Amino acid sequence: MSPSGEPVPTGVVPPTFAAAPDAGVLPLDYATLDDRDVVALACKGRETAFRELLSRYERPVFSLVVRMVRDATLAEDLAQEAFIKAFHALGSYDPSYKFSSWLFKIANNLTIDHLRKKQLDTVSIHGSSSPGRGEEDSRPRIAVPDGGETPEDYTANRELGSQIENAIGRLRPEYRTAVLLRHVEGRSYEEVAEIMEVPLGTVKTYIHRGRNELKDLLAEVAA
Amino acid sequence: MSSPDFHPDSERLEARAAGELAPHEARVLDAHLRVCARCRSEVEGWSLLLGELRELPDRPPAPDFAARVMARVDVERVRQGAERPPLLARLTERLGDPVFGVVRRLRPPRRLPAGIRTDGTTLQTGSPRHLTPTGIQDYLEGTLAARTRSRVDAHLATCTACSAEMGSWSGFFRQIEALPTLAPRNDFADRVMARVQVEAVASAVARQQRSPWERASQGLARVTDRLLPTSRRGWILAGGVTAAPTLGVVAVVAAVVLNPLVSFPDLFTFLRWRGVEAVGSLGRGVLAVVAENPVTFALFELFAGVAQASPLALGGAFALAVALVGTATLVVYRNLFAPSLTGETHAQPTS
Ligand SMILES: [Zn+2]
Ligand SMILES: [Zn+2]
Repeated sequence: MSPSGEPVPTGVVPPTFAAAPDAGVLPLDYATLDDRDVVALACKGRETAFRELLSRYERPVFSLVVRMVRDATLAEDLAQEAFIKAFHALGSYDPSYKFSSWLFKIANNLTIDHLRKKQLDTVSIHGSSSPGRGEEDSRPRIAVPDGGETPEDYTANRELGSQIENAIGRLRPEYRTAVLLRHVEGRSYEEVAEIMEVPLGTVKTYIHRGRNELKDLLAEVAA
Repeated sequence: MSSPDFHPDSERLEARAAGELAPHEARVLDAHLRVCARCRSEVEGWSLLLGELRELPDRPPAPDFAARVMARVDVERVRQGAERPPLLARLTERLGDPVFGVVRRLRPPRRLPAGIRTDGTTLQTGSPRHLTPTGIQDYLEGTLAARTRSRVDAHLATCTACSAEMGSWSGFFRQIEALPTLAPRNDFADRVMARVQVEAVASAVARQQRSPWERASQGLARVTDRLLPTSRRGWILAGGVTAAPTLGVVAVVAAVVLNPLVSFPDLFTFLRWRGVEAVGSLGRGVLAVVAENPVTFALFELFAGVAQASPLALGGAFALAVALVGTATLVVYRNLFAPSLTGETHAQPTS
């Protein structure tokens, strides 16, 4: 057509996946993909896939962890650990389970381990072996951001001061995880069982008793 | 004198109060009770509670009943007893019906709706059994069976105390479900990605590609996982399911073997003779085998023998097998499948 004009750019003809390893010529709409597909792409080494997983789950995971440890700075560290651990273990993720359940399981295990360690450090003298009451005090231990960070970064900490958050903080960690997963994350009983690695009956017990205690605690405050 | 370091758990103490321990176990426990005031007091609390519970259907507990019981029970200890459910919750369960129970009223309500007295004696309307917290929660989560649900609705229509309680529970549900999702700082993703080696993940995954054998064994493990019962009751009745056909087979074999007309040497000779016959007949070709199969013949005679063996014994064995399989199937269904249906139904808010 244009014998004398600009040369036909040979390199730009129909882009293929092979030619575009990462978010190249064919823009993939990650938002429309199922978790499992995003994970599969992450396994092929696409950074965008990792970022997509982060944007889907950073809030849910952080929400759970921060309500467990009641300290935003610590919660961010633990949530980060959880994501890094999960990403590096993607090869062992079994796609027949929900990705979110698997991720929550990792985050919950890290958090529970942390609470246990903390409890060991402050082991009570009369040696009552109650695996649970991680925090003895009911007041939220609000971490004061040290230098550099503005308090606005810590909306989470402000949030944790509310009555209901305080009451949640007084539940045993098992009850707390179960109630939070059920009501804040909207997980089914089966998923909670999978995440906490306990039988379904136990989950039901945790949730019912957790709610019972929580309701009593709130009534106590209101009275 | 300080109290001992080791205390028996509440379950044992409860068993002691109920007189359910074996004599030697009771002796060991009593030795501890002699030196430990705390456990002694708990056993007394249990006896009191169990005694009152036996009376319940006939008369309501005395107004100060809850207070008297709770004074005996080391609440903090029960509360802290890691895996141990709270005392009252366990008793509620023990009463059998998790939805309607008598015990709930024993717990002094913390905030009473107007018009209701603390001792709960104003509740002349409706049935004497009220909704349990478990029942109320299941109702609100929509996990009750339709029939139970309508029973609950009927009760709520007549019982002011329970409908007030229901109202406060549903307010509570709204309150927890309104909890916001909390966000980490904006650079959270960047900080994670700074520590993830994308290439390393990809090559690790490539190395880890599982062999078909590994995948198959994982699949198998998953299937086993799903098939295994999730509760003790489930286990016991799954055992029943396995045992029932076994018992049936045992009964049939026993009926044949114990038949006075059959003796072991006879049976052996008979089978050997038939066996020899069968081997000989193989030579006569396929047509002959199909036409008058001696093995079929032998089996036929064997079953004819069974038919003659005491019909009473056979009928009994059959009835037993049917009963066991029926019960076991029902309970396994309730433990394995019914609970898994209940978790899904509740639509969730948030985000
Ligand atoms: Zn003792
Ligand atoms: Zn009622």
